[in-house]
Amino acid sequence: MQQGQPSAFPPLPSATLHILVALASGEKHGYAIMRDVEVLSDGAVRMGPGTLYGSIKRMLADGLIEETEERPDPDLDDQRRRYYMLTGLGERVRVAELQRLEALVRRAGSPDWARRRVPRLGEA
Amino acid sequence: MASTRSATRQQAMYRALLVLYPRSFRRDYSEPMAQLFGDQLGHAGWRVWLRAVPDLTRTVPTERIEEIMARLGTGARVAALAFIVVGAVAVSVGLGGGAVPILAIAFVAVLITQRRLFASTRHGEHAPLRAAAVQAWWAPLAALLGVAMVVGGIGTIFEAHNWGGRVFGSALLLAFGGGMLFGLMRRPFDRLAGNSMILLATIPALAFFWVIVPAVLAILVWIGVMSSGFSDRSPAAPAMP
Repeated sequence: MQQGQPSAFPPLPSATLHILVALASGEKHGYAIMRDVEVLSDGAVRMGPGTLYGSIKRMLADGLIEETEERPDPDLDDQRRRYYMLTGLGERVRVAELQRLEALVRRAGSPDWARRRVPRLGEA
Repeated sequence: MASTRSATRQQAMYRALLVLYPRSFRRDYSEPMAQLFGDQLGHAGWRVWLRAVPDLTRTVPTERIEEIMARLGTGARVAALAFIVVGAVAVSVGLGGGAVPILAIAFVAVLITQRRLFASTRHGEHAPLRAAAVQAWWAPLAALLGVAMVVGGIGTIFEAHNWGGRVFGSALLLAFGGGMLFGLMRRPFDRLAGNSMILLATIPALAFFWVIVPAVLAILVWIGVMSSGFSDRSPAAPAMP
């Protein structure tokens, strides 16, 4: 696969997609990402620290996100926190994956698809 | 909400559990992970453990396997593959046909949960087992041959009809089988020596060519060894003036 090709990534693991979507609204630290993922998924996806940072590690290696150099104002937040943001590739991969899922939902919900009835085993 | 003292103690406990992760992962992420756990603790109290423990049990093996595979050379990855294949064969022989679904389920589970070990991704190093399988597909066959000779050698000690067979037959099979396995282990460090031992150890399988399966395995091993480069020794460096 070629590096930098968004089409080479989907389907993404659930955690990766949720993190990409959470970071679409701007740079965030780990806890903020985790909270946003919970809100985005109505509480259905609850990541632990291992899942979150394991995914972040792989996403950094794949060039989907990057750690920002700037640190928050010490009065506003803990300076030790690491902030992450989407790269150009990460943004393109996020869009490609969401389009794929949209197409899937559209197709799955269409009456044509629901009418397709597969005969059971033994039926003529 | 946890009291400050209790929260500090629980965070220290979680930090201690992070030792289960590989060192490189810990170096990069133990601090933010402990901080994240502390944030969750402040928000949800002790219930955060209900999420943290399953998270640890799920992610520690993943990070461990990934770290081991990234650190191993191709030869060691091949040895791991060979070990898996030989183990699967041993289980099949031991359990008979019942082992097939067990092995199939285990294989599919590994394939699904550890897709990175096999899948072709952006970076070659993210598919270590696939790279190993492509570069040294023949090594599991050699390992199988080696183990078969060792097992045959041990069996000969008890089953041969005379002392000559017991002593010479078993000694030869054990020597060749051991040589094959030792050659496989030696190959990553000294390819010429390792390959030489592997090819020498195929002699019994080729000599008794009418026992068709070992002979075919030996031929495949020869093809594999010769096609992957018998020696990787670079030419001697020119003498310094």
